Amino acid sequence: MKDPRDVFICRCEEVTLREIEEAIEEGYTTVDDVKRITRAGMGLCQGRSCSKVIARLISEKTGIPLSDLLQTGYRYPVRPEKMMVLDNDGEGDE
Amino acid sequence: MNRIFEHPILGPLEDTELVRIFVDGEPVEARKGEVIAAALIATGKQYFRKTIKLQEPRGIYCGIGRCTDCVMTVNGVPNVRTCVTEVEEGMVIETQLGYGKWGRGINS
Amino acid sequence: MEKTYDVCVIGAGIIGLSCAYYLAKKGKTVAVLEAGGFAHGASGSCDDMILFQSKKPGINLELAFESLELYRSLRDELDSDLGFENYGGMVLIENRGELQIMEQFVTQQRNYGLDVEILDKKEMRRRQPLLSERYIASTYSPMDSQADPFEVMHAFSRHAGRLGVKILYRSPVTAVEQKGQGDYLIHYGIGSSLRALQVVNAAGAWAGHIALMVDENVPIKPKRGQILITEKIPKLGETNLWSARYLVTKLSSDYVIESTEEERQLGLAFALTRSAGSSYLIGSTREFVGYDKGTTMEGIRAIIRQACSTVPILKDVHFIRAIAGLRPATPDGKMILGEHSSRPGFFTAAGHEGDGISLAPVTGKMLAALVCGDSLNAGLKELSPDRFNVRNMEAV
Repeated sequence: MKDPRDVFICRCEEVTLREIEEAIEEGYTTVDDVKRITRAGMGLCQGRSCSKVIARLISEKTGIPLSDLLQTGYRYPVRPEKMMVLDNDGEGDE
Repeated sequence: MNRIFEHPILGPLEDTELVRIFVDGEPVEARKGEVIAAALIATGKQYFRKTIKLQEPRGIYCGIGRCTDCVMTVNGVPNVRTCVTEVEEGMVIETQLGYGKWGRGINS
Repeated sequence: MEKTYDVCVIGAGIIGLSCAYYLAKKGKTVAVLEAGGFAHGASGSCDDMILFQSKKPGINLELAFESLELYRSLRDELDSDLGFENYGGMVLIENRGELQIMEQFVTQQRNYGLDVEILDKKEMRRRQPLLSERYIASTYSPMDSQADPFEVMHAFSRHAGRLGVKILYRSPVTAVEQKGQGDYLIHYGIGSSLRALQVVNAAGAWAGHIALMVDENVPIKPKRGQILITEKIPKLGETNLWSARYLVTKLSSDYVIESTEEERQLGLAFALTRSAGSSYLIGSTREFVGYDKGTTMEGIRAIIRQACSTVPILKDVHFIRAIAGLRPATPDGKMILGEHSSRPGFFTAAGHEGDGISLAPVTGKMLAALVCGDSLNAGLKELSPDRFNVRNMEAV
């Protein structure tokens, strides 16, 4: 029987609920902190699937209001872009 | 086949041009204009890739191009989101194992 | 009554955490005050490198050797593989002018004990078949390595914590008062304070501001580096890659390179390194833009252009994120390490520019020795903060 804490919160980097809870218990109490400690949110979808869940987990465990945890900045690119999209000088040679 | 030919609300499935794609070497008939994931689900394909760390099978999750769970290697390029990418005649689609293999020259 | 610590370390980047760990190992009670969250400064936005080939023979190279040794033993001490990898490195050479300068540099480095050589085009392409045709030669060193900064910092924190170190995040230092001999009162956050016998300024790009709080001059300027992160892909060839183009301008000040105005302004230098997460980090710029950690379209485009012309296959690779870190740069390219003579008990350990990951272990170890009053190699005087304080300068 699979342990329920082995469920993936970050599907891209395969980070489990257990690992995230351990990071929060160690004292890492922002989404960014948890990301850097566990890699959750660093994968291909860049936290689109997991960061809100992580914010809620932190809020539930620490009592920090959810609204305080959800303000993160965004970085370009908004979704994965092939490099050639911006290599428009066509400088690359084969 | 998992296609719905007669939908209670949307009505009957229209006839449309077919394209031929290759999935893990096998030819598959897909409907022109549909996304790769739809064509695969229609054939009953169970999983699209295996994850890097734990080699677990993944298929569609969000279906709207956000979660990147459904990625496969298409025409030699890995990490293509099959739920938002349309099929094309002659497309070569491969189940992606981990990082995938590059058909364009990177050693795998 | 505030708690009194032996040492208050200001800054929990890789340098601050290394200092805290080595100080605790020596039996000191330590509190670390960090303005932001975990890995908030340059340590969290960098390229993981423990790079030997970019270092001129001299103290930086010497310290890099020592630091590499420390990384090896830290893997046991800290019970973690630290994301350590040893892929080696190649510096790519485009023309005869660069080749001449790099040949001289490699000779100097070899005389100093670095295992490095020049590869001809055939051997270069054997190790790195994906290169653009225009590179004529390269260097190769098996020593170039890397570690995962997040893993290193997490491991330092864990073990420092077990040794009693207190790390306080989101606690920016607002004032440092010297109350007396060996008695510092450090104000942080809103209305909090703690006392310490000694203070270590490990605030990286912000070390100048901290030093100002005790009327000391630490001339560190932030030098922004933008980096692109790709999706995870299989390994591209054997080693990590750098281009000689930028390096030769530092080695030979009258060498003129062909570059666009934009590349010059961005201080663009090509680097392609494999991250701990199996993606590639492609960099990077060198910009003086104050404390702006933003990424720019110009920077990203320029990096992409350079990347695709060096390794053409990258055109089909997705990049998933752009990051920027503020390297703490000193006027002479050497870190600042030591006690301020005119402010006994106040130490600075900062200014590593692009070598923070490389030199974190040796910095922490030396700093701990200095704080405990151990005598160190006299050669380390050249790293002293006093060199920037005119009134303290003896014959240098």
